[in-house]
Formats: sequence, structure tokens, C-alpha cells
Amino acid sequence: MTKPVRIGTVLYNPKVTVIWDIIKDYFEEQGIPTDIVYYPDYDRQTDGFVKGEIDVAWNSPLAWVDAYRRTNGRCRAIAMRDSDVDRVSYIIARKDSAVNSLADLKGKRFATGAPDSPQSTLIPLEFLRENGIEPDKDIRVVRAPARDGWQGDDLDGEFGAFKKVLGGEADASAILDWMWDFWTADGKIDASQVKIIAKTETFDHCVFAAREDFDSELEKKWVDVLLSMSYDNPTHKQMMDMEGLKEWLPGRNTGFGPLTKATENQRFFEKQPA
Amino acid sequence: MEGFKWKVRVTGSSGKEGAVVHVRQHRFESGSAASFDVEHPEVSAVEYALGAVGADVVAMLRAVCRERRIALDAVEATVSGELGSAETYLNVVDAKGSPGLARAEVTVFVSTMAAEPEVREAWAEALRRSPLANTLGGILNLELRVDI
Repeated sequence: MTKPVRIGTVLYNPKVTVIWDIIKDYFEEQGIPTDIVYYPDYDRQTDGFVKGEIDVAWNSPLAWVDAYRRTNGRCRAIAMRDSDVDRVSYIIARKDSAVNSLADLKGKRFATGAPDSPQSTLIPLEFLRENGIEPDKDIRVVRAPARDGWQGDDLDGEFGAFKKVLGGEADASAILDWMWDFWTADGKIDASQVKIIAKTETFDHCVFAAREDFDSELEKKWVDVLLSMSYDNPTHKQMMDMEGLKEWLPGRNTGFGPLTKATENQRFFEKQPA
Repeated sequence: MEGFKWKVRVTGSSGKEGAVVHVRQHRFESGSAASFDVEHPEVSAVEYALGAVGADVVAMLRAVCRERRIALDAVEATVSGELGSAETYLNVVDAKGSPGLARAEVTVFVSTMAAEPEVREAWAEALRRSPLANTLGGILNLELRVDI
């Protein structure tokens, strides 16, 4: 029997199993035996990826940067959701505030999400620094607590930062454009109360990473099968709606520059427990 | 009194993970042991277990009320349950803990013209005599709501 392809993913909610059952069934139907390996968090998944417990990892952006760093670049971004490509974070402020531009933020308070959140902490703080506002020096950073092992995949912190702006505990925060669209559509955010004063440079979000030693022919076949999943197929649609995509796309290494730069300049991984 | 032992026979179903339960001249199909898919076409073993607990309590309450000549207009139970460690059940790397049901909540709603104290006495007796409620006693949180 052909050795199964081992795909790692983080099980942050039991419902996630529905997504992976559909993906596994489809790959098996297409002649690629597949084992799904569930990890409790991205730290443990990246350990498993580095050690060779899995061939492919479904990574958060920070987990990708970590995996790339820990393998000395010996991994490849092989596929991602259409919704992962070219995201930005909006820097927002209350509509009735005097903050109308980045320059107005000097001397003010900036609320961040989880310390490991790419879109609401790491990339926005780097963006402020690049625009002449040194965090913790030119602006007070109102930080949120960490959730172990989530590696930024924690939306509660991002929304919590937004609520601090609304509640007057902070003058600005950052929200991923995707979440902005989602939260303004479902009424969680009243867009009439806030304004977007800036947006970061574009960056990519989640990504399938393959180990360098993953067979390239098998990888090509694997990606072809993934990309053949269709929103017109009711079963695939169920998975895609849950995972937030309409189409799988080929992966690329190039969309993680802003996050890589942020983690380096903020010495993010140096501060992590060994 | 001599003991009575029930027997059921369970075979694998034609599905990926399911089973067929044969009980005397009856049969029913069960899906996987537990499923987290709200659209799953089959009833899981855990859902059958929760249903059985609800059925046990409702049937026992109705039986006691009948014995006591208390007329019930309607009885309904809602049952919810949660695994101690879904991670262990799902074989998450490094998972610890029991995958068994750690909590189950049963709320029984009764509509009746009878006096509430009478119904509550019947409820207490029903709980004392319910086979499954007593089997799962440690994890069950039972509540009766009476609408008169």
C-alpha cells in the first residue's frame, strides 16, 4: 500500500474535523491515501513538521514563518486559500476622535490583539515603526494577554483591541481587512462609529507548507487534487464555507515579508520560551 | 427475584464507521461513535446515549405519574452532553484525559393541571427508579420545569 501523506492541522475546535474529513475523503477518492494528524497548537505542529512527523502542515502565517525559520528555509509554501492572498490590516480609530492619520497617533495609545497575532499586533506595530512611530516610545501600546500555542490565530484579541478603541481605552487598533468585512457585515462592528486611517502593506495569511524532502512528484499530484476541489460541489462547498474560501490556489513564499520583518525587528522568536 | 439480562447484537454497517444494532425483532443504525458535524446524516452513538437518557427520564416520569393518577398534558426533555476530552477521542497529538461523557444536562418540561408539589414528588420517585439516570448519576444535572 502507498504510504499515506500525513497532513498536520491544529484542532482548535472539534468542528474542524468536518473540514478535514471532507478533504481526506476527497484525496483518498483521488488515489492519494491521506492521514490527518491533529495537533493541539501551532507550536506543537511546527515541532512535528521539523521532526518529520508530518509531510504537509496547514499553517497560520506565524507558524509558516516559524517553520521556515526553524528549517532554515527547507520547506515550501505549496497551496493556500484564495482568501489568504494579499491581505491588509486596517488601522482604525473612533470616528469622533481627532486621530485622522498615522501622524496623529504620536503620543496616543494603540491597542493590539494577542501578542502573536500577525494582523493585529506584529505587522501593525512594524508598520507604525516604518512610518516613524516607534512603539512603546512614540505611542503607548495597550497589549492583550497571550493564548498559549495559538500563534496568532486568536480573533478574540483582535476584537478586544477594537472594543478598547470604542470604549476609549485606546485611540487606535488594527483589524484584518477580511475580519473588517466579516464583522461589519454581521453587525459586530458598526462601521459608522469608526474610521480607517491607514492600511498596512499586503501580506499573505494561512498556507500549506511541505517539507523539503516531500516527494516533488507526489507534491504536484497533491496540489493538483487540492486545487481541483470545487465550490460547485456541495460537499466541497460545505468545507470551503467553514474554512472561508471559494477556491484553493497554488502557494507562494513571497507573501510573508511583512510578518518575517516584524518578527525579526521585534525579536519575537527570541522572546519565546525554549 | 431472578435477574433479567438484555441482549442486543451489533454489527458493522455498510458505512465507513457505523454500526447496526439488532434488538429482538428491531434494528437501528448508528453512525460514528461521536460526530461534530451538525449536518451528519447519521445519529452517532453518543447522541443515541443522550437520547436514551432523555427517554429513560421521560418514560419513568410518565410511568410514575400514571401510577399516581396524575394527568400530564405534555412532557418533553432536552438533553445536552459534552465529552471530557474530545481531543483524546480525535487522537490529537499529546492528548490526555477521558473521552467519556463528562457532563450531561437533562431538562424536563411538564405541562399539567395537577398541583406542582404532586408532580415534583412524582419526579423525585422517577429519578429514584430511572435505570439510566442512576447509571450516569455522577455526570448528570437534572432539572424539572413544571408549567401548570
